[in-house]
Order: sequence, then C-alpha cells, then structure tokens
Amino acid sequence: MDTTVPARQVALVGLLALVLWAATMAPKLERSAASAPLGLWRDVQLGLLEPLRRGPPAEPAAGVAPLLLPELHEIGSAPAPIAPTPPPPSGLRRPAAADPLRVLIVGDSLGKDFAYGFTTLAATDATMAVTTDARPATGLSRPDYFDWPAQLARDIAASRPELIIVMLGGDDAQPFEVDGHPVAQGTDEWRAVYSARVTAFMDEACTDGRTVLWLGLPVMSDDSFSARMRELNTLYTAAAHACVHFAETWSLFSDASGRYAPFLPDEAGRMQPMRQLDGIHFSVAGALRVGAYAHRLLTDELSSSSTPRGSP
Amino acid sequence: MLFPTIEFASFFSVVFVVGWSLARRPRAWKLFAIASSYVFYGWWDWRFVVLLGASTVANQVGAIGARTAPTPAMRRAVAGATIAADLALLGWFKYYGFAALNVDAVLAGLGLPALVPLIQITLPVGISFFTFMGISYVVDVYRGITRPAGWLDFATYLSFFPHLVAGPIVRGSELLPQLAAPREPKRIEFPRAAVLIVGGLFKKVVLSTFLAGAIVDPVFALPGTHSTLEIVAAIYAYAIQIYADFSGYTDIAIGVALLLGYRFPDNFAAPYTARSLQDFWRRWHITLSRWLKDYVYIPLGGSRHGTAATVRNLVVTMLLGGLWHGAAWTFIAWGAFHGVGQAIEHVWRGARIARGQTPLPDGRVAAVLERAITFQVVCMGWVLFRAHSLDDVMALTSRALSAPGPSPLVTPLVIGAIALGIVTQYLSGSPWRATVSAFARLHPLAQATALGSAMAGITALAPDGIPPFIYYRF
Repeated sequence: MDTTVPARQVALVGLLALVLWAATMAPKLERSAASAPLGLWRDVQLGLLEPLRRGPPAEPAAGVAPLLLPELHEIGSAPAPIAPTPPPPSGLRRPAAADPLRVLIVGDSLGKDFAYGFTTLAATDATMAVTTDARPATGLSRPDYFDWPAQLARDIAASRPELIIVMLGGDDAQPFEVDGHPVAQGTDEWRAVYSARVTAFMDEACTDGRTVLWLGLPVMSDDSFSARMRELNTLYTAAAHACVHFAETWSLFSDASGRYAPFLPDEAGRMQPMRQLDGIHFSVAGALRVGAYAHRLLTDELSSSSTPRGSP
Repeated sequence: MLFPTIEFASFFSVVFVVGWSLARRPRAWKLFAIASSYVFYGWWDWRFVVLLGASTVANQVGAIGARTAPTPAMRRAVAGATIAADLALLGWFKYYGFAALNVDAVLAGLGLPALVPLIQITLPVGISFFTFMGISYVVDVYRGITRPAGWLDFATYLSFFPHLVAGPIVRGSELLPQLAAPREPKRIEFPRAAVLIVGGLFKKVVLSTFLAGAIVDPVFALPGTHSTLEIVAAIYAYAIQIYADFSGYTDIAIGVALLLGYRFPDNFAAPYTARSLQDFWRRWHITLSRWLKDYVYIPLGGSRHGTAATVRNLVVTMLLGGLWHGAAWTFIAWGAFHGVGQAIEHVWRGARIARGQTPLPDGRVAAVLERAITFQVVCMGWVLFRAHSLDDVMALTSRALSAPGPSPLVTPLVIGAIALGIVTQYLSGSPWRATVSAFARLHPLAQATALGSAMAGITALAPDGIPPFIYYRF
C-alpha cells in the first residue's frame, strides 16, 4: 500500500492539526509563552495565541506526577556538627532524635544541587528532618510564571518547618513587566520591584518565628552574569529581615583573587570540578561543598543551643 | 532548540514550507538546509556554529585527500591525520578536564606537583555525534566504500538538523546518495512520520518526564534515604526513562527527516526483548553499536584471532563505548561492565558450540529466562550509567539488597508506567504498522483531527518545562 502524500497535503493537515492543538491547549500554551524571557519571540508567541484566548492562562502544571505523589519529598536527615565557621543562624532549638528539627529547603536548580549536597551529608543524623521543594527555572522576578510566596505558604503548611534554607535567584536577572510595561534588569525600578518581591518572600518565610538561612548566589564563570548575581546578593542582604541569616557562597567558589574557580580541593585535598560545564550549576563535589558549608553554619548553632525548646 | 517546544514547531514549519518550495532547485535547497541547521545549532550558542563549520571543512579536506593523494602511504597519512584531528577536537572539549584531573591526582599521589592545568571547557552539544559521523565518512572514503561528496552535500550531511545533536549516527553511504538524488514533493511518507513524531513526543514528554520526576530523580539524587523497593523500582524506571527519552528523540528525528524526504536508519529495535547482551547491543542505539563494530572492534581484529583476542577486543570496544557517553568513571565502569558481560557470553557461546550445541539454549522457557536475565543485567548496568558517582553506585547496590522500609514513591502509576514501557517492547512490530496503515486510510481532515487531539493530549499530560533529552549531554 502506497501511503505517500504530496507536500501540500502534509502542510494542510499539519496546519489544521496545529490550529486544533493550539485552540485546545491555548491557556497552557499561553502560559508557556508568557514564561519565556521578554523579547520579540515571546511577543510573537503571545500574539499568535491571542485570538485563541478564552480565559486566564492555566495554572502551573506538573504533568501526571502529582496525581499520586505527595507534593514534597522527604529526603533525609542531618549528621552531627562539623567544624564551625561564619556566624550561624540564631534562635534554633537543640533537636533530638525523638523530635528532629524540621528543615525545609526551597530553591531553583542551584537550590536543587545544594539540596543534594546538604541532604547527602545530612543522611545519617536522626535529629534533623529535611524536606526539599526545589524547582528549576523558577525565581522571584517572574511571579507571573511562578508564584514562590504562594508556593512557600503551601510548603510551610505541608512540612511545618522550623528552619527554611533558601537558594534562589539564579534565573532572576531578567527583565519583567509591571502593569504591562517592560522593566529592564538593572534599572532602579527593577531593583525596587524585585526587592519588594524578595521582601514578600521573606515575610512569608519568617512567619511564626521561623528562622531562615538565605544562601547567596555563587560566583559564575561568565563575568557579566557574575556581576548580575553579585547585584542580586546585595539586594538580598539589604532586604534581609531580623529572622533571616544571609550567608554568602561567593568566596566558597572563588580562587585566591576572588575569581570564578572551576576546580577546588575537596575535604581530602583532591582537586575536584566544582561546577557543571555551564559554569553555573554545581557539580557533585560543588554541591557537597556548599552543602557542607550550610551544615557547618547550622550545626554550629545547634551545638551551641543549650535550651531544648518544644515544637512550635 | 529542543524538539518538543513551540520554538522547534515554528522553526520546522518554516523549514518544511520553504524546503519543499525549493524541491526543484537542489542547490538552493541544500544551502537553505545548511543555513537552517546552523540556526538550529546556533540556538544553543553561536560559537558552536564555528566549530561545526570547522569540522565540516577539516573532514571534507581530509576525505578528498584520503582519496586523491598520489600514493597509498600519503592517502593513509591524510586519513589518519584527519581522524586524529577529529579525536583531538573531541578530546579537548569532552575529555580534557577529566584527563587533567586524573593525571594530576596520580601525580599528587606520587608526591609530584600538578603538571596539567585544570581548565573548564564548555561541551558543545552534539559534538560526539557529528565527530563520529565525520570520522566514518573519512574512513569510508579512504576505504573506497564511499566517494567524496561535493562540498554542499557533505556540509548538508554533517549539519542536517534532525540528526545533528543526538543522532542517529547516519553513515555517508546512507544519506549522501539521498542528498544527491532529486526530492519528490508528491511522495512524502507522512503517515509513518506522523506516527513516529507523535509516538516520540509521548515517550519523551509524558513517559520519560513522568518517571524522571516521580521516582528516578528523587532516588538517584539521594540513594541513601530510600528503601529497597524504591531503589529497585527506580532502577527499572530509569531503564524505561532512558529508553523512552532516547528512542523518543530518535523517533522524532526520523519522522522529521521523513517529512523533508530523507530516510534515517533505525536506532532501536525493542532492546528490552534481547536474549543476550550481544543481542541487546544489536537493538540499543544501533547506529552507535555498528559504528563501534566497524571502526573499532573489527579494526582491532574482531573475533578473527582466537578467544583471548576476541575478549580483549570486546572489552576495549565497550570501554571506548562507555567513555564516548561521558568523561566520568561511572561511564567507564558501565562500558567495562558491558564489555566483560559480552566477553563472558562469548566464551559461554563458544563452549556450547564446541559441545555441538546451539549458541543459546533453545525453547520457550529458555527464551523467557534469557530475556529476563538480560533485562536484569542491563538494568544493573544502568545503575552505573545514572549514578552521580561510584560511591552512589555502592550505596544504591547495597540498599537495593538491604533497606526495608516504606516506599511511598512506588505508586500504581509508576508501576504502570514501567509495565507500559516493557510491554510495548513486545508490541513493536505489527501493531505499529497497523497504526500507520490506519492513519494512512483516514481522510485528511480526520488525520488533522487525530494529530491535533494526540498533541493536545500529550500537552495536557506534560509538566511545565520539559527537561532536555538525556543524550544531548553526550
């Protein structure tokens, strides 16, 4: 049986199929298009979908996974204290195996890498129960794409954390829209709006007297990208509430001259790649390095807490 | 630019319409195909385009020299130098950091200072694929299997976007004659292409992405915190995930090429129905397997020089195959695992033949057992392939045997998805052809409705943000 078809017919069938697909899935496609970086390509996509609009863009989808999965993954517990380093977060009780400290890690893809390192090191200690909600390609600059304060409220309700560790912002150095007009990254208006969004997130994190450990963004291989990350770190520091302990990670991944260091010695003194080949994300060794750093901050505080306190 | 995105759908719509409007002007079509492929590739990073162009020029010059140099020795030298340049390029981008790290570690162990500077180099997507295609072209021209193509044909062959970033690894003898022949705009294998593309999208966007998020990523991220049942299920799930991911990509690539009038070789043939590791490698990533066979295993001597030499050649070939996937000890261990496994099979088959028996035991029960055992062995190999480190391999292996506990990640949907991935392997013949035939018999409006509905269903089941194909990293 000859099943070949002329190109014109293929084009026609393909076009009709695409129209049917776009009409059926318009809200989800529009949401996907809206999440793209501001620019011509995003405008073209939204313009093409405009005639098909019948309602608000769809809510974030997680595919078929949520049908039978809990929203958060319980992923580990932490070890005994290691050597103390910089000033630790304050206000934490000394936990016990019978009543472990509830820790929530939230973040983007860098946060996901960090969570791997932290929880790998934390896996043998029963005094800490760690939950992670790390969502790649999310941040605080585009609440139209992902509403982190709302998600954080859901995470808090689900896991009732006493400590929240945050590593977010790697995707945030991008323009966004405010009331329909574009706001370029790096302008005063951008900084003011973004700082307000950071503040709203910290407000949510700090409710009920929780402690927040905010990990700053690390140095990146690309100099201009690095400069943007440094500016974001400045905004996080400026916005930090009393309950937020800001811990910089910049120097953890820099060489002696303060520049991006792709290779650094691990705890055994062996040189290891610290970052993935994109010069942004952490390698396994890098994740363990930043995880150990957060651990030291935390366990130093826990070991110095003398008064066990009850759960909130 | 990833296949399952609006960007690619838009890009391909333009390429399809313009491409077929140039069907009677082959030179213009090839120039357009090259330009389109470079746009597709440059979407990741424009600097990659320079690399692809340089590879094209070097391999074409090498192939011409390997065919036209005045003496056999000179032809051999040109071919060898071109292959060395290809491997040097691949080695620099893909293996330099890994090699430097390990050389310096050995020196440090001997109390010597570091000798090789540590530099982090960005890995261009697809470099392993187009480098292997370039090598095969040069070798085939040198051997006289293929004639040197024209510059336009070769540039189109090497850069053609459907295969550019993750294969199939198409031979010059397969694609160059098609590029030289006129394209017929009235004879497009649309039903087969449509079924391949929709099936590939389902495999990648729904099945692979679901299993990755539901169990594979959580378990492999923190193997020390999961129970035996979760770890075992995650290993099976990864077997299905990587199959769905890679074969899904390949199905889309083959379908897209068909829509432009070109046939690519098959890359998968129900690999989890294999009855031995040797059989598995005839069904899994077929175009890589045959590349390794023709350009590594046979030149090493193949199976022509006795059992010991054959065992050595199998292990060396599979070690290189493992290393091709990535610069990490886990990939080397995975290659060694398959090399040793195939060597054991070879010795065992030889012993059976020497006793006058068939190479594999006959009978339905034996076939079922062989398939089951092969699948288990392949899944054990996937642990090496997927784990972050050899420490994680040890943790996964030990906990897979001795970590009782609750298994909330092992849901009915996860089990169903794993079962779907296995069962469909046994249905990959006539049901697939029947689907193509049924689609071909539909009225064009019904075809459009079926296609649009299938795409909508896939989109509805898809999460926001599809992760890249696994094999883009290689």
